[in-house]
Amino acid sequence: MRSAPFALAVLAAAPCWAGYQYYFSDNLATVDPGKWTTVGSVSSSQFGFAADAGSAISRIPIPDGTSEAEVRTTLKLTASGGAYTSFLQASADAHTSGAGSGTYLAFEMQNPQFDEAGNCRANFVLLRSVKGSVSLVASFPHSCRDGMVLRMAVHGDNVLLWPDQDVPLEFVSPALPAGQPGVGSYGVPAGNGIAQVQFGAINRTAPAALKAGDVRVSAFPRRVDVQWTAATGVASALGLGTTQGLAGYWIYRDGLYFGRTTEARFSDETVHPEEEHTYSIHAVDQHYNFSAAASVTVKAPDYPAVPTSAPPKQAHPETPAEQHAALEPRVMEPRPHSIDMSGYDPRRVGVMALGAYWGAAGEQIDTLSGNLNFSLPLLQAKTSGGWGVGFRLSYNSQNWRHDNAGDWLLGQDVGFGFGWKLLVGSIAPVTVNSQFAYYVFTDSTGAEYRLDQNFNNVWASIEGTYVSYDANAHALKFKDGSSWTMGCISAGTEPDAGTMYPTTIRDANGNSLS
Amino acid sequence: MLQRFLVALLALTAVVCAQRRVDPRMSYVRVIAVVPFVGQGTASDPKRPEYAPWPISQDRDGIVACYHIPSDDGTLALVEYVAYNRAAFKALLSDSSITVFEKGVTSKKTIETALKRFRKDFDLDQFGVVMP
Repeated sequence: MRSAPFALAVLAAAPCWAGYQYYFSDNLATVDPGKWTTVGSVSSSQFGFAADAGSAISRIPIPDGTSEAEVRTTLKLTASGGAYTSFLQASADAHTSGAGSGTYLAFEMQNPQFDEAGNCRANFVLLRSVKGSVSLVASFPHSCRDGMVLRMAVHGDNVLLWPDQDVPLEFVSPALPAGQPGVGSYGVPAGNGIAQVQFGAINRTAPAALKAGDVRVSAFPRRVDVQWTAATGVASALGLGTTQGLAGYWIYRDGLYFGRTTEARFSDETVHPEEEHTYSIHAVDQHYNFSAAASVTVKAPDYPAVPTSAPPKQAHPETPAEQHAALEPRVMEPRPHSIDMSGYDPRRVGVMALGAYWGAAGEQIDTLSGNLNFSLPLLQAKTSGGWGVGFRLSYNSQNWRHDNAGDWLLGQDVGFGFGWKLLVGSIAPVTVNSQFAYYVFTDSTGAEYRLDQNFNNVWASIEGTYVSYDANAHALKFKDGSSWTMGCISAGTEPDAGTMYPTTIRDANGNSLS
Repeated sequence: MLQRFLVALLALTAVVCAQRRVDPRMSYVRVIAVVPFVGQGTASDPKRPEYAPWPISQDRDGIVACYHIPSDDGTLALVEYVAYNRAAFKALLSDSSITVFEKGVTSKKTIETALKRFRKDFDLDQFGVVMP
């Protein structure tokens, strides 16, 4: 009877929201044989589970009676070395050390290495074993750190992996018919270990579909922008990660995979004038449940005809009183800055080679769009021969757009103040239907050029810039004979994922900066 | 000192520059191939597609990631390899005994037509390494 108030207190202390709950959690300071079946040489300490070469497979059934689950481990990682394994659908004899044994799907971090600066890098593998016959399904590199969290889930034939990140990586691999979650390790140095393990059931409730009325579209001859109200309520079904329980939104164009985004908007920059496309947007949760699609069909407009008639006459108020009367309605009811942009692509930032600008020094106003661009040459990196390349701090006023589909936030604060960027230049591929449509070259003023003239994977532009990108050699070449080696690529979790930046800048005589 | 500053500045611009996101299945350099399996099928020497790095190194100039599904008869692997540099694929691209395509360069239709000969349900939309 005494325990009843205590239980009530515990219940009252639990979070009110019905977020995702793991059904089992263990810090593995000791390995309880009532909860675990152990294989090989298993030990534990205040650092957690640190088997020399062994594993511990859960004895606790998965609550929904299936073999599908999520396993989440938190690692204590203070030194290089070792292998740290999460198991799903594992037999009681599963382990990956030496020749290995058993049946399982395993997500393993192998041989983490800290460099002198304290940065850590490791290899990650997805292994599938059937009665001791092991296959390498996938492998990839990723960063690592002390306190990192690894998650793995199986839902149907989809294996989901979170290598210390919020959004899962998905792989198709045939599910195994039975088995339990577990953990394992081998070659673990002193001080390292699996500090916590948690098991959870698979969420099988799909996120609610986006409301078609919430999907807003702005179409231009070579660009379609789509935005929608972000899905809500997902966190209550699956409160994982920092993305409201969502892995993101998957977008299909005319039934074919187009891309994915974690933001409630995307742009299709591969359309042509008068093309019509249907975009279907699915909200996808962390356990790979797809909502029903919200679809919208869009036709890109043609370029407007060049006006040939004389401009209409405007009435010019004669007296100051008439001038005031004409101005008064605008003062009383100010309207948001709205431009009819159906005639041209709205994306005009930087100082374009073929643009017309008004201004002086670094201040340039685009006479077509009215945007202000300001570029401040910050420094010039020079070679011994006097040749160099400039870095510019640039601002462009195209930070918002208001049109019939609402307001669009185009700018952002990336560390230098809203709308400001520090630029030297970059290259980014634009893809459609698993193929490169073209590359975008961004110069140091922020101007963007399409390199859409493809000659054997060497891409050039017809937009007034004499730059070509040799995708075979990852080299950006300029008309003065200089070239940039684009050796730095933003990682998948960064806002500019896949964008390439120069690591070596070389002049026509071979002098280089790197 | 100047070189360090320049490297730091290049790194900084890399962080804060353009905000176009490339689809995670299209980033880096990718090759799709149909290759035989190698390996003993043990945990220390798993069955894996030929050219898949094993033991996995942290050599940034080599193949850094891969993912495969087996062919319908289980004898071949339909693989996607990922590298930071196209030079990592020199041996793979010059191997005339295998079916190989550069992703992004070859059309989706061409790749799917070729690979459906080995696996009927092959779908490029469902296949590939999502790079972290």
